[in-house]
Amino acid sequence: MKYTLNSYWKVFWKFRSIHAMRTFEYRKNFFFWAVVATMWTLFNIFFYKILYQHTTTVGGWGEYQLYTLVGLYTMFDAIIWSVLSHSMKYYTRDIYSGEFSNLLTKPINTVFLIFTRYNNYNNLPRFVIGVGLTIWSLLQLGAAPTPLSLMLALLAIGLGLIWISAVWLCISTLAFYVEKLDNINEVFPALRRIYSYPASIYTNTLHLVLTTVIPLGLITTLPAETLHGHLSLTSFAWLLVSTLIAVVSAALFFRFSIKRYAGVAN
Amino acid sequence: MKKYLYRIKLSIMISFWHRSELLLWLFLDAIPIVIMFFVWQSIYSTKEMIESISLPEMLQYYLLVLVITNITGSHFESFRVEQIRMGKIDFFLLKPFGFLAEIFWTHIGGKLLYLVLALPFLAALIYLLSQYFPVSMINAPLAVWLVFGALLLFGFLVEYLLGLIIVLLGFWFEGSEGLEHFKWISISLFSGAMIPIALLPEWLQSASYALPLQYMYGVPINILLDGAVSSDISLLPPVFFICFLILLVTLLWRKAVHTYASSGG
Repeated sequence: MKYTLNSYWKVFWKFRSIHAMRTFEYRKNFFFWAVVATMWTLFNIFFYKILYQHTTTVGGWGEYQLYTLVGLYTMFDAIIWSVLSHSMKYYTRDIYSGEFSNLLTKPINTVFLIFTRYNNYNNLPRFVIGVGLTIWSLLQLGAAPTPLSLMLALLAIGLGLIWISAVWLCISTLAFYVEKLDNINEVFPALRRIYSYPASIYTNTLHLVLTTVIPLGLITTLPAETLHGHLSLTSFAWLLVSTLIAVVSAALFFRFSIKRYAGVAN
Repeated sequence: MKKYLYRIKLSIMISFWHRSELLLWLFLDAIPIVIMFFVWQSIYSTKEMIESISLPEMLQYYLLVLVITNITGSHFESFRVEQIRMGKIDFFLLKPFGFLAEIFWTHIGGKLLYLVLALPFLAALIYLLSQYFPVSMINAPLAVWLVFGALLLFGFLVEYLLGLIIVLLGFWFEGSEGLEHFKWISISLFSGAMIPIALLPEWLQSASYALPLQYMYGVPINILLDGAVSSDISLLPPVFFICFLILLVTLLWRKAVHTYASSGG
């Protein structure tokens, strides 16, 4: 049977509904982890609030400008913990346990399955807080993004998410080569702290690296600046190119690596 | 004693098997602190002092936070709660080597190996950072180092005992490992690990100074940076706090064994 785009769409939503049912089956668990996620988010925001009690700018960013960035960071974080972290955890677990064959033998794109088959909804409040904080900060700044800048900001967020997914896939694919490295999926969550601050705090070579070679610095800075009305077309173009490079590299690396996979009869 | 030494040896061997993971954790744990260096460098670019703390002092503060976290931190909660939930602790209830002893000596063994790996890593990191940031070596008298060591021991015991309380709550609550996050947030907020206590808002400062958690980070770092132990500092609150936690663990354990049920474990 040939899988069309429509079939992928249906499979995607089927997974979402299965996980929604699972969430409501364990409601207490959902509420507990939602509280934990909210607590961390508020804790982070509180930390930035304390910083601004002792300074007026961080890396040239005023308090409300930084809150736009923090709002975006919170949204990225919600998606990372709801989707990517789970997807990658099960991906590497399947490689180590030999159950990855279950995915390879399905008549659907394996990478699509890797990224869509797991998610949870515990970070939904975190996402809502992120959206709320971004809007609130823009209102405080009196910034009214034009439809074009809003569209470009959303595009930058999308590119950032694709870049993160591709890079994370590359990191997790290392599981085909290394054994006993269960915390390989902790690499990206640790690196994400880099874009929890504006790229301008990093100086000299590191700034260059984080905005070009590994454009982690652009992930939140670029959409935030776009929403503030300071669109940098060069940075935007570079994020687009970097994302394309990351996606192609991840696809090639994945294809090359699955040849090393060995699993039997499960 | 022989059985405890054997447990430590076994724990070191198991941890050594996971050495690449441990090395990766060391690297990953250092990232937030290095980022904080850039944040504070950026903030200090517009002023010399913040609440009478200079940039070198602030950077030293965060380096010491990293060192203390590596020495005192504990992360055994999730695994142990899962053991309880899955009914895998029968063995320790039947043999003359209790579950609490198993957790403690395994933790000690794992921590010893971790420190063997962490100390050279931290020394290399501090050297590397000192090439780019104004970080100088700490010069304090022996007496100060001894008090610092005692407070490190306190921090280690607090982390361990709070972790143990979370594990023991696993006898009653399914998702008790989630309480680990409450532990991290409370310690970050009230101990001075997130930011020096002097920079907190007044209401939070009062709460931090009233709680013994300040003896985990804030107090030991300050005495080391000042190079002297202030006469205001008393070691009695940490001692009482440890006694309180031990009492709580003992009570919880006595109740917990009566609630435990498993079959064929």
